[in-house]
Amino acid sequence: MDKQLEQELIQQSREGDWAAFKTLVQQHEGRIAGVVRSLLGTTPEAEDIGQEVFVRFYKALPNFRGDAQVSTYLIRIAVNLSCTELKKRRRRNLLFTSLGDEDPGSDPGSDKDLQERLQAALNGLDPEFKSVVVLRLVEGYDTEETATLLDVPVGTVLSRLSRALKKLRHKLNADL
Amino acid sequence: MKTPDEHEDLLLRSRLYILNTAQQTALTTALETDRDLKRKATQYDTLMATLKRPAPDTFGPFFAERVVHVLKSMQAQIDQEIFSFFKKYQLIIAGVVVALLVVNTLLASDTSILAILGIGNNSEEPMVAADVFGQFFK
Repeated sequence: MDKQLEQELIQQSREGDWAAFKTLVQQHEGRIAGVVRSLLGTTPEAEDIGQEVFVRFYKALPNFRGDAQVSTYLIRIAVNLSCTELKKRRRRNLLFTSLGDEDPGSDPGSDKDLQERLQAALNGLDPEFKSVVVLRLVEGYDTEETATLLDVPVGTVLSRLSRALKKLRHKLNADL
Repeated sequence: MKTPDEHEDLLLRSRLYILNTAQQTALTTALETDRDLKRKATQYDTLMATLKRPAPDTFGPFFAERVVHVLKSMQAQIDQEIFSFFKKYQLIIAGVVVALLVVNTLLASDTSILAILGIGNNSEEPMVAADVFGQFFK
């Protein structure tokens, strides 16, 4: 979306124009859906977090200076909220019986296809590694964009990606 | 001479970022001679291709409407809470105002409206605004 048009929509939204805010949501929901669902799966929580991203954005509109692009701002919120949800899930899984979404390599006779095994292996990664893999390799942002979105240095992105990919390859060695 | 681990790191870096000429040459040579590294390269390429999103995602056609509905509901709830807060204390506030009026009436030397509201003064002659400003700037 053209930056000037986006600024106009933000100003109109600040003044209480719901149609303008709806246009902003429609413009960005696809990217947010991609990031949140890649991190959390197609679950009811994913949509709740998608809504929360835009609710927070709306509340922040009076102070939104426009230094960062709207998409960058929204993706940062989406990643942070999703990582918090992943950590909650992890704690729940530690407290209760694991749902078995990790360690797919332990079931070599399963007829799951590579996509499913990969998704399961991805779920076994720590949130900060998973978010890097999702942004860089699933959503297709380049390494520098990923660093900007996560507000970390390029070197950190590269080292997390490298470690995550080695772990994924190791888990799926027999299937690749 | 680089170790196999260093070659693997170089391989991953080539898929994720950029290599300088020397690094590119070292990787090309290693891929020509090291069969294990070549196998890993194929595996990483398959992994990355499988990870890539096949199509754009969406929360559905009415997602924006749902977000706006949530925000409107939240605003209505906040308005209701503010209204309820003042409604809860309206009797107390009214009681305090009446009590202040009664106290003023009892303490005032005259029974004019200004005296009851505590606006007048106790001097025999009422002071007009011009007198007040005159005294202030003297």
